[in-house]
Amino acid sequence: MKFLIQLSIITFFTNPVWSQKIEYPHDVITIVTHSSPGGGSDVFLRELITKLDDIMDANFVIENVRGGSGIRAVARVANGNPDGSIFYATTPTYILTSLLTNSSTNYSNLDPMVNIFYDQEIIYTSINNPINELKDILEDTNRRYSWGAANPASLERIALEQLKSISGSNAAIITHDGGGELLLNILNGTLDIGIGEYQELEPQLHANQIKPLAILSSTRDLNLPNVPTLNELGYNVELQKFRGLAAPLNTPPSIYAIWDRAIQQLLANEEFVSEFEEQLLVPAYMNSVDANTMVDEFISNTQQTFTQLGMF
Amino acid sequence: MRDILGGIVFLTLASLFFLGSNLIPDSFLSDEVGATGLPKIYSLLLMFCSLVLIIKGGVVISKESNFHLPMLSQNLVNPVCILLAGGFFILMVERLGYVISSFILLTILLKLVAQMKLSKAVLYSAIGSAVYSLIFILIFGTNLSLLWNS
Amino acid sequence: MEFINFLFELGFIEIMIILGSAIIGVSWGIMGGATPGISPSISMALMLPITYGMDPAISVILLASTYLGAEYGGSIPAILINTPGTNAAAATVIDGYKMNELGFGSKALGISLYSAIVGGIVGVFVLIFFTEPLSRLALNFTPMSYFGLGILGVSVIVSLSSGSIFKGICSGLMGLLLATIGSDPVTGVQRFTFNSPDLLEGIKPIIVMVGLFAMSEILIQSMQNTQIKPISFSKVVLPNFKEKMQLAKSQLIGSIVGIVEGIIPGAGGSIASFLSYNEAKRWSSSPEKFGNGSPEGIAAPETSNNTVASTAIIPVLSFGIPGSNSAAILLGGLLIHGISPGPLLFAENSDIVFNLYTGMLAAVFMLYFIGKLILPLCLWFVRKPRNILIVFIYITVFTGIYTINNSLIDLWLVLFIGIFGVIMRVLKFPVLPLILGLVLGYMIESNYRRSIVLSGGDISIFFDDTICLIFLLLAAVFILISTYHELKRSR
Repeated sequence: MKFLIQLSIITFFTNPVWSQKIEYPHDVITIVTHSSPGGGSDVFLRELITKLDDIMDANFVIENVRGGSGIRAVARVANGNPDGSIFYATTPTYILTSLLTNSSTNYSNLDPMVNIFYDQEIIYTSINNPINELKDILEDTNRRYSWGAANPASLERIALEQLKSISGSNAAIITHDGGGELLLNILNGTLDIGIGEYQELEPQLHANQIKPLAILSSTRDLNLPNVPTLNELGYNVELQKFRGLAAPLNTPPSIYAIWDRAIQQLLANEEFVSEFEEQLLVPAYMNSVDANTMVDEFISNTQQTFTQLGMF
Repeated sequence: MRDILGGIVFLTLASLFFLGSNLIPDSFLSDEVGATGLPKIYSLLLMFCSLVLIIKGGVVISKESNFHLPMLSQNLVNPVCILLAGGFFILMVERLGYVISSFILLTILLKLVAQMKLSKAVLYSAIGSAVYSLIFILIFGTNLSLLWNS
Repeated sequence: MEFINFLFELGFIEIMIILGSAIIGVSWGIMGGATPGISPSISMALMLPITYGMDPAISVILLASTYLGAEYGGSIPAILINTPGTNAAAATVIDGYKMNELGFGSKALGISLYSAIVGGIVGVFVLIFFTEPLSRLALNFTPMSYFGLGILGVSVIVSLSSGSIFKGICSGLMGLLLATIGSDPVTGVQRFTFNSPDLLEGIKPIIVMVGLFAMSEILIQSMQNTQIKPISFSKVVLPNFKEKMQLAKSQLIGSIVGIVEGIIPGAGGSIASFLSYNEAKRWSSSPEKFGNGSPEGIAAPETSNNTVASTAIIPVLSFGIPGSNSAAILLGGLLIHGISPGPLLFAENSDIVFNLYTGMLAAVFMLYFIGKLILPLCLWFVRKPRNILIVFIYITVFTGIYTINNSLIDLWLVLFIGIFGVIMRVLKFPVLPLILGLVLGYMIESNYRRSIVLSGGDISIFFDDTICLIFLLLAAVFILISTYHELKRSR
């Protein structure tokens, strides 16, 4: 067993006091997430701040604000001082909850400041399943296949519904209570295919228990060069989840400028990026203007799909 | 008598759920059972069971000569104080912050429910709210501290 | 085997570090578990940030011992103040609080501590030696099987509603209705939420439990002028040899139920404790004592939920799939250190797994000492004058509930459910069926509908699934036997 001493030595030597850090007007920057400690976004943020620590001259604190399906965390940041000391870690969750409820606190209370990554989503099946290509399932009308998504009101479910209607399949779409339940039903053969974040599925892919059939981004991923995109297969369905930061309204432009520099510097570091790319996170830097356009587009698309699917 | 009263309470709640389930929006994603399926079945079953209780109670009541609800003869001031103080706490906590609100809540309750002298109640409340803040904010480190910012 | 070698190779300093971490974890866990509102998963979540900078081995030991401590801690307020500190301690309230009212509080605490240790030892043993074969069993659980399990769970309602089956069913149906609040498991539309984001995820069982047990107890006690009998001892009385023998049967039942429930992801400690309570009552030589302060009525659920605490880790280690919120935090704790549990965990990071095992063993061991140290303090605290105690319990409960979601709606709910609880108790409606209905409602509905979607509307799918069929048959048998006993008794 290796214990504390070793760890402190490592910390001492890896702290690059000699490098020039970007100056910041606050000593402490709070990043609020709706994810509980140990949840997907939380783990990602903790990794991110260790990298940002080397780039920016400030200390980072992650604050986990649970409750209200993300809205409580949005409220925390929206009511915070717009001076660059507090930010919200964005994922599509806060927009989905805002759209599904009439809460007075919603996405319009925050301004997307910068986008950092996209999450890759894949369609997969059990290694024991004889299917090797997604086309075989989508074009086979003799059997009623079953497809699974992690949650009922999720982007993954919407993507599957779109795929079903484009391909004209008569599949049964089963929703779950989280990605774990879905994975079990794929492994035990109850379902034929599932859709999920690559990050969550990495252990099973690595252990060769499941095989990826398609990826939902616009281009193939370097880590999975043999896996086609849905577009390549002839189905116009795309899904990528964004990860970035949003600020309270009226945060000064000077703060935005510092973050722009910092994130660009972060994504220029090949070592950092390759660590994230191993988890199939795709670097996707956008400044505030682009991030706002992306989020607005996302909102209007989702709103449209929700209305089509009758979720309002 | 208990069965009849209980039956009425549950019948009312079941009817509310039944009526409420008509307000659940339809969805194109709906399955064979639908979002309203089980709430309707459960509330209908509950209505049926409460009606059985009411009818059963009606048969028994003729034999039950001196029924009284034990609680009604007792001190109702305390529970009402507790509920009102709780409501007051909920309304005030986001304005005054946790420490002050819990101090006020403690003082009111120690004075009225535990019938302490005011000075003693204030002292206990001050210690109490300090200990609670210590436990919940500093030790458990929960988001209660946020209340200061809002 | 490898793990035994690992244990023998530990040096003195390492053992001290392990024990020290276990002491910190268990104490923290008991404190959190005993506070209504701070669930085992929240206790672990609060511990997690502290472990980020630590060596993975220590952080795993801290998290695991917090987990075990918190699962045990829930029984303390259940016995002393009629409020389960955790969901899984709900069944312990029945006989635990009754024993306390009769003046045997210290004895009841002793039984729950002893049972937690027994459950802990069984659970850790199973975790160490049977993870592989049991994980294969867990893989066989389809949506149909979960539905069957849910039905088996609610079949307990009949025997929980002593006196009037109809009243029990009303209460159970109310629980099932409350479970439908929130977003629909298939379509995602909102049901009974009034568009409030606070209700989107449904009503947490702990809020209903705190309302029905603690709040209604506070309201009722504040009305009364009579004193409850003060607790006679301030020391915790562990059961003697003869009593241990008498508890053995209920603990065996508790362990078996705990092992089975633990390995099924999502089943959890609450179902296990209710089922084992029910079975212990059925097989007991003195079932009439259940509900009136039976030691076996504490031993069975407490053994069971503490067994679940360990066996629930099996799906995390084997598949990386957390079966409960607490297991999810443990998973997060591993992920942060770059260790991803799953099929290759044992091959790639066996030392982490062994550290986890060691930590859990140490935690069970420490439970005994820390329990003996903490319980007299708790007993001392509840011997204060009742009206002062009520006030402080009230604030504790209020603060605890607020910390779950930072939601004021939750506090209003506690007040209203408290009033509803008073009404139920005055009118002699059993409250446990409501809790059971609420805990199982989502599992039953979501899996029923998933299965129906899978089969395209054909209900024969439930009978084609062997596990589901077994559960449904068991439920039918249980309901018939309990109804028969109920009818015989009411004659």
